[in-house]
Amino acid sequence: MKVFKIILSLLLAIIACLLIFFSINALDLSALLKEIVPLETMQQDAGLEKAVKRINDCLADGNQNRALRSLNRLLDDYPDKVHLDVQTKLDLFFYRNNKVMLTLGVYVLFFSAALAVSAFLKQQKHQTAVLVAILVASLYAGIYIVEDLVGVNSMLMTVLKKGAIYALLAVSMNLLNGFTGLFSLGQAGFMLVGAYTYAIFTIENTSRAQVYQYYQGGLVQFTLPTLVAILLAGLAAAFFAFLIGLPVLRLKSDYLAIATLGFAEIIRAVLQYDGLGRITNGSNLLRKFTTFNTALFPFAVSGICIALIALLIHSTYGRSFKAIRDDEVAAEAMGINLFVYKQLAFVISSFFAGIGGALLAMYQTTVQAAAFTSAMTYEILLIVVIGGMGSISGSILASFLFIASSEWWLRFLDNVTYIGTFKVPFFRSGFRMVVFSVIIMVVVLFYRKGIMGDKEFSLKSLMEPRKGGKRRG
Amino acid sequence: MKKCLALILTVVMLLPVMALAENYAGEIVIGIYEPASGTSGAGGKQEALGIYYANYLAPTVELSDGVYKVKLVEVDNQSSPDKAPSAAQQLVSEGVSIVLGSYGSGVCIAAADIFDAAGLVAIGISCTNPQVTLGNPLYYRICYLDPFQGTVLANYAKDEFNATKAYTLAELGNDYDVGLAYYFAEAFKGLGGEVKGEEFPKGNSDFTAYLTSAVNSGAEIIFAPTSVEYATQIITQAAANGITIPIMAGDTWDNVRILEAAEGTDLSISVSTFFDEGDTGALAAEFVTGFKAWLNENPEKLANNGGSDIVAAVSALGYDGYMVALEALKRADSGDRDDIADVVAEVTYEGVTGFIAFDENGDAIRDQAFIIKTDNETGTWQFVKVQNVSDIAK
Amino acid sequence: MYDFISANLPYLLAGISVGGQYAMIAIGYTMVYGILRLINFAHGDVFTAAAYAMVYMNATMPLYLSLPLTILFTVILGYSVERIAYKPLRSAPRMSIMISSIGASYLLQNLMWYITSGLARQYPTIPWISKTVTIFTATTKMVTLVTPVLTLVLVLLLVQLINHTKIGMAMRAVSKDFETSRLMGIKINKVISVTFMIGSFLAAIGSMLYFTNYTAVVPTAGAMPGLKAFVAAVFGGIGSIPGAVIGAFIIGIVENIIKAVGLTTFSDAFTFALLIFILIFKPTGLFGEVIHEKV
Repeated sequence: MKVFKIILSLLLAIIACLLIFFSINALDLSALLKEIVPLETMQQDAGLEKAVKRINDCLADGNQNRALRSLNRLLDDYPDKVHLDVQTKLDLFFYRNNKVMLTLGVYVLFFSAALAVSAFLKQQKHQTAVLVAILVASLYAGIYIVEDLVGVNSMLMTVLKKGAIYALLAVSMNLLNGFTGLFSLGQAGFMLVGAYTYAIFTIENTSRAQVYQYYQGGLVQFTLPTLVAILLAGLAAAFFAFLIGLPVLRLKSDYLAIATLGFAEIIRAVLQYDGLGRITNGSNLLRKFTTFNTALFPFAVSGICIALIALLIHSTYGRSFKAIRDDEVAAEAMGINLFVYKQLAFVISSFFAGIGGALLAMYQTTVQAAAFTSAMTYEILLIVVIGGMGSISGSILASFLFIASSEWWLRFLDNVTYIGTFKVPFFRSGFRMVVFSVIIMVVVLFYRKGIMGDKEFSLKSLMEPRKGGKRRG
Repeated sequence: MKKCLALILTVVMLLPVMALAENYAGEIVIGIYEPASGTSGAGGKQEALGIYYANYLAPTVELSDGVYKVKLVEVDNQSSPDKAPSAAQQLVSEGVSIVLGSYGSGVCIAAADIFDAAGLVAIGISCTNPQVTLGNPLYYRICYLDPFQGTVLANYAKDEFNATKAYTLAELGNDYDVGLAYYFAEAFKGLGGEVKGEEFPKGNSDFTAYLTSAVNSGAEIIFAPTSVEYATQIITQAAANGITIPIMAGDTWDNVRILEAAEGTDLSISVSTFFDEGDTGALAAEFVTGFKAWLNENPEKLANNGGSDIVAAVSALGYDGYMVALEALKRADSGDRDDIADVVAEVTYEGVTGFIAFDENGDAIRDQAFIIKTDNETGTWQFVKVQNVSDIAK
Repeated sequence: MYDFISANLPYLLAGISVGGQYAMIAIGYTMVYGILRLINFAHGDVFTAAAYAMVYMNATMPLYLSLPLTILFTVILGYSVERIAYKPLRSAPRMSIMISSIGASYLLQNLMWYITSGLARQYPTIPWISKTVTIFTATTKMVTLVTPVLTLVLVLLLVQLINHTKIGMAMRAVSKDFETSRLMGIKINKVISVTFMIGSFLAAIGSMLYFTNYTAVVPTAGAMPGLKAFVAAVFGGIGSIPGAVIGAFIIGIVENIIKAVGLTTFSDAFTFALLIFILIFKPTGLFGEVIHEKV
């Protein structure tokens, strides 16, 4: 077994190096162009010359995407005039799929390294760790490759990006509602604080005058690096949570819900207030701040945050939270300081909600206080319920399902469709949300525990045969 | 299971695409980015009607390699800047060559970056806020700008009503409302007047407090450039509270619902707009008769137009927008986004709303606004005057 | 002095008017909470649905038919919401039923949006109460005067019902102790259904008064009033009907005073600030009973 693993890993390493080598080599399009379209052929055809010139112009401008699009058109329009042999075809393939090949190369290298390492490991725990590392790397490599193939603005990537962000938000809400039993409806308020903090501190300095056009350019005149701004967003939300938690956490569940809802509305009104306009731009859109281009970014940030939350849950703090959820009085009797732990859960949950809000702002490219209504909190709550309160993997799964259904799969319900000349009844703008709400009601009424209940997803439970009852995973 | 179903349904839906008309060289898709629901839904529908009518008159475009069929794909941005990005995303994924829209500057601003990243040119129809084109190289517009509109209205307020004090009312967070109110206030103050401004939260339905505030501040005109939905409330409540102060607004109030709400009241309502139904110029008159006939054929279209066949200015603009898009296609000689992006700036067109040409920002070079007033007895618009830039520059 | 009154009278009148309308909704909330310990988030949407029913029915029927039919429709709607969304979860933990109530509200809103494409509809004018009247110097609609009177009358009737009828006694018993009442043979389902029906009836009347004043009906029109009515119910003491009414009037009036002062952006936020204040300092509200938690 061990020898087999080492040989396999060496083979994969060689393949990986080859991929990486070819990818790096095929980076220069203008040189490649000279090979594909020889000088003499070019001079004979004015159209061809114009097309080649255009590609070189795009490259000079730095517009890779457009250069690639023009190259494809050139190859389509003049199939008989281009010179393609094996070498150039290979180079062309590697140029077009540069990112994919490079990522694939790096991934295979990583895989081979992991395989080699696992050959020398004896403990089960370490083996599992290697497996997890491979799975995570597969996820990220997979996303990057799919993104390059399908296009960063396609529906699939949009759903994945938004799904990742909502996964973080759902898990942060689950931490509070599902694991600690504190029914809070203030999520939207903390998301808003995070989003605004992030946006205000990352607007490009040159655009500030334009964005804050009614407030003489605004008060904040510097820009922070993206990651710092995201952290700041989380901290700002956590700070507000701390302040709000002081009076509010004493209340019982229903009243806590309404009080946090109230605070979220107050935050929204304050951030729209004209008097604070120099900082918040009043009720106007905030825009021109740093956004992300690739789906990897939200996945990376969400992934790290969710991992941190999972670590928290599995520590003594997490056990205290669950104790509070199960029976407050008993927990207090056991020596858990209720208020401190509730505050802790509240603050940490809001910290991650703030980061989620910042990511949401980056995704939307514009942010406006009026959009962060209680309806947004309800959506996240519904995601948590569908996934199962008390299950992190449930929240993640439910988040992707929810976003995919509402943004993509059910979109066809919104379009007036004809089968032949028969107009399908009901299909009209808004039907999608109706069907969606009905599905949610069905889940809430009949599948109260949600998809995962309060269990986590684990490979063991998948592999064990079902023996007439569900085993604890 | 769900994924399977969705996949099957998607395939089924693609079948009609294969039944493309035989004698066309191909198909070019133009995207319509308009609200069909929400606070600006009424206006968005009327704008879309103009585009559909233009498509009815000109369903094909002739390029150097053949005649292409022009197909329209519409998405609903729900008048909301947070729903806008996903609607814009949908248009991008549908592979449209050029986008027309929107009604309502907020949703345009929200979608601008998405169109930009996809290299897609968007031609704004009636979005008047400067932010739509500023900093967005691929966004153009064919209507005039709010600074111009605000100045026109401020001058009108002073000349017609001899007003020295004004009260402005805008919806919180609505770029169009807040922007136009701001430009009006600046222009009005520049003429030596005083302005008190207030903003109401989204979803508000009680305007008595604001109207009373206007009366108490001694305002001589009320400037309320809100969307149609709030406008009808403001009008009915103003009538109920016996407000006698003249009311003015921008192009959003050019809508049959305003006429309905004002009918039978004593209110004086003046509005600036892009087009006048009574315009006797040849192009405009032909458009009006043709459009009305087209509307009256189909009760659904009449319903979308607000139930009557009164021509909304945004429909005329929508018509011009479509024609400008065709001009861009002809000039680019292809349906490729990048080719179109290269040539749009040079497009000119003589439209029913006037001559259209673009400046370096992508804005239309416009110097004319129409002012109309409600005739509360007949429930129609009464043309007042045409305001030119040159008259104001003094 | 005269100037002060004439400048501020419109605000006061608007406050009284809207306060009465909030009161109608608040009673529904407080009654349901008293019995089921449930915040019926869907109540605000039932209120909006009543308005839409009136709009559509009035378009095809004369007023003397559409008015009672609207009330009937609203009562049936309230009853159905209870049957479909709350009854199956009667034995479930509190959070589940609250989530179901949020889900029901979500469904109703989306349904209304779909049916009307989110475009505002104009509420039909009900003849007598839409008449314009002048009080001192303020011009307003008749509905402003009718509302407080009607509210008081209905509340008095309701209090009579609760205190002097069999079903009223059953309602009081159930709100005191759910389990024991059931053991004593009270038909719980009937009591709960009656509670919802009364609440919906009042919401229907409230919607007629409210939308006569603010004539544009949108699917989200009832969300804010609903939330504010709930705050009023908590403020007055959850479970206490007179408390809910007084709370509603206070909220309506102070909300308009805030608008009068010029801080219009905060008029909604104020209601929540009031709620939090009350929850922290007197959680049982103005007229509520103090509950002692035994360990």
